[in-house]
Amino acid sequence: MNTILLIVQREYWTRVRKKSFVIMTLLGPLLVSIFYGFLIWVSMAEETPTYRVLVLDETPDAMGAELTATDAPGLVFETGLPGDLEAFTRLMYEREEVDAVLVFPLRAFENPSSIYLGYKTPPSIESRSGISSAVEKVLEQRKLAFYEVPQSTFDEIRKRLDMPFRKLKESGSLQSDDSLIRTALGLGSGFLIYMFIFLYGVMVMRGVMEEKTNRIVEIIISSVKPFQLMMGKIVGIALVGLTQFIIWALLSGLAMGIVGAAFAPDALEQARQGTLQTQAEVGGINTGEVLAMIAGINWAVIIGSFIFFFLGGYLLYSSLLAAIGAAVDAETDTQQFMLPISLPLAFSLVISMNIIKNPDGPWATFFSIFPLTSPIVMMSRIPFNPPAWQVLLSMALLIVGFFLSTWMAGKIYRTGILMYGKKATYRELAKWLFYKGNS
Amino acid sequence: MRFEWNKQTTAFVLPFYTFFRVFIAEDSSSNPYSLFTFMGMETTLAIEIKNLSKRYASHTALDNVSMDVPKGQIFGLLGPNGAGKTSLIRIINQITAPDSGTIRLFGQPLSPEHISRIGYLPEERGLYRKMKVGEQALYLARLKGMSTSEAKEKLKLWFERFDLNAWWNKKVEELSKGMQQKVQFIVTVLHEPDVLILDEPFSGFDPVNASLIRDEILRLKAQGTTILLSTHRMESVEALCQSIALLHKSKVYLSGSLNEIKNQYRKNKYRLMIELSATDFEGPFKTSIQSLQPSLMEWNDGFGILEFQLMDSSLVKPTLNHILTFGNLVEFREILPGMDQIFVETVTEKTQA
Repeated sequence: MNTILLIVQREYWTRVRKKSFVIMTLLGPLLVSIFYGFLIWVSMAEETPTYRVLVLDETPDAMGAELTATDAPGLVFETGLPGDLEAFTRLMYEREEVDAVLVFPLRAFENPSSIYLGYKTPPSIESRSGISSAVEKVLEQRKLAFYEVPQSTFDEIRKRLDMPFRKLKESGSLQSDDSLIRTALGLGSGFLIYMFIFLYGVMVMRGVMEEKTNRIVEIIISSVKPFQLMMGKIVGIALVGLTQFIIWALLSGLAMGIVGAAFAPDALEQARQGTLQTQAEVGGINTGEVLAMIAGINWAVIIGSFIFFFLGGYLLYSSLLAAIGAAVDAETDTQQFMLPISLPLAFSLVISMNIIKNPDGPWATFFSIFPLTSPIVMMSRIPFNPPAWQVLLSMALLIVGFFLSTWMAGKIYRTGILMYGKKATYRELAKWLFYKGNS
Repeated sequence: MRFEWNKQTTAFVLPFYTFFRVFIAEDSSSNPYSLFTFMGMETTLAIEIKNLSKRYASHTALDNVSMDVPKGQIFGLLGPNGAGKTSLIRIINQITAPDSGTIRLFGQPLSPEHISRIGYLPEERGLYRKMKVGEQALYLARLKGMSTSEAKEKLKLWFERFDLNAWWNKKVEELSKGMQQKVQFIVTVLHEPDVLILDEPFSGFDPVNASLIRDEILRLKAQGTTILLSTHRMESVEALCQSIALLHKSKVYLSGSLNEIKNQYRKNKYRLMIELSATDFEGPFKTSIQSLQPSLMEWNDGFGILEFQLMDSSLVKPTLNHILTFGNLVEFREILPGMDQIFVETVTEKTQA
């Protein structure tokens, strides 16, 4: 049996059989959803502190009394108090719970910009917008009365338009707008690739370091070539990653099926009552449309390119990480070498978030072809059907890049794994690149 | 007539081809039927190293190193730390390649096929800590090209011999240091290599395990294994090795059979013990041997002890005859130089020269 296969086998089995792998694979998606659920719950359950505003009303017709604090939670207006600014100020500093004074001067209606808030404690962003909208509402009501505009007319004027965006196909038929879904899909898969590259790349680095610090590496490379050991490890861990990904995909498919089955009757019921109809009329998106959009996406292309860019990116980065693992003696020494590797990864994540605005722009095009960033950036573009030549060029360059990085990493690795107690520097690594070695 | 390759052609060509492959082709390494073997070109050397050099960016690890390791012997590769021993061993194991020079193993240029014929216990050694003992031993054996069933069978025997059976399914980290070392030794020799390379094999072993390993080394030698023992401890060399090479500052300072080397460094020093009364010792005995200029002369509980050096070994007999007139001989032997002494002498001599 081929030795490299043996190594792949060991790397794969020892990891897949680990308890942590089984737990992460089965419970990972669950834990992630629990985590997000918790985050949402926390942000919702968090108690907003009260922001108490004294209203100093100098207007003849008591405008301030009409203030209602509806929009912002925790906002309280105290109206109808007598006194001038001096008295109010004193009152604010006497009463601990009072945070600000809202001043309606005498001619507030004629000159709305004279209305202002003087605070003791600065209002939060939420309170600010709550206060302004409350004041605006009062002014609005006053103006309607002044210009004798009926409320119904005003509502009609203010009605918002939800204009539908549709794709007009060559055949003349309209297709619902799915760019949101594509954006989410692109970003989501880009992020997943980012995570996987990091997760499994670091796993490779740790594995290499383990062999080095365990001092088993010399025994193994007396039977196999260092390059074979490195590649065996990289391939074995790639298979671990693929296994995990496939299990996750199946599990989420299953979960979506269950959720779908639970909610589908509701959607049908709604449709019967005609609620969905009206939603569609005003340009909203209904469940049926979403399903049609999901069906309209070329999943074979997306999953195919996901696997390609995941593997390509992983191979490129993990070989570099393997070289780092070989060069250092302890985990703490990895920091200085990790930066140039995590930088392009993080950078491509940022880029892919921005290119959503213009998926075919020059920057998007460049970074989706450049090998260090292409796995993530190109993956974010894939749902928008970029030109085929760009995708193919990006793939080809990724393959070239990965051969180059593996070749480099192999050289550093070969020297590094047998080097103990020597602090590795960039200059040292460069030297190792040019050592004459085996074969 | 058009030529056509068919069954007849194959039947005609095959015997010739087979003959060529089996008896002539030189690349058929470890071919016991090679005509070269029959013609007496079979070498008596396990490893031949010629003009080997290896340079790193900042230092030279090996400088024109040549040595021959005879078959079936324990060969001591000696030298202080940093002399180049490990570099040389790594080249023999094809972990690194030399800048120049050649190595032949059993007469053939070193090639990847030789890997399975070598067993290597590195100085820096360890095992996967989280992996189970049996599984790990099996894995390492299969990397050396053994089949699973063969490896299992042999492992069983070795585990029995080293009393490790109960630990087969335990993780390595649960084993004591000594047991880990035993496992390490087993995986080194499991595939029954023709050449065994041991780099500081006794370091880290307690005395009990060290003697166990020593016995195993001697047993393997008796079975015909050639053993290359690298160490800077001279005492284990004298107990085990038949031949040695002394490496210092990347160069070979000395090589050959241990006896020859010791003969070269003989100083004609002798030690003698004779039954003698105190008065005789102090009186006529002392005066009559004054001319020998003994380096040691003492009387202890009825025995006189003497250490002296002669100009020539031909003087042994008359000297002994003379001394024996004073009493009965208890002990007489030549004081041979120890390896460490030879080592120090060689190194200082060569550096001065």
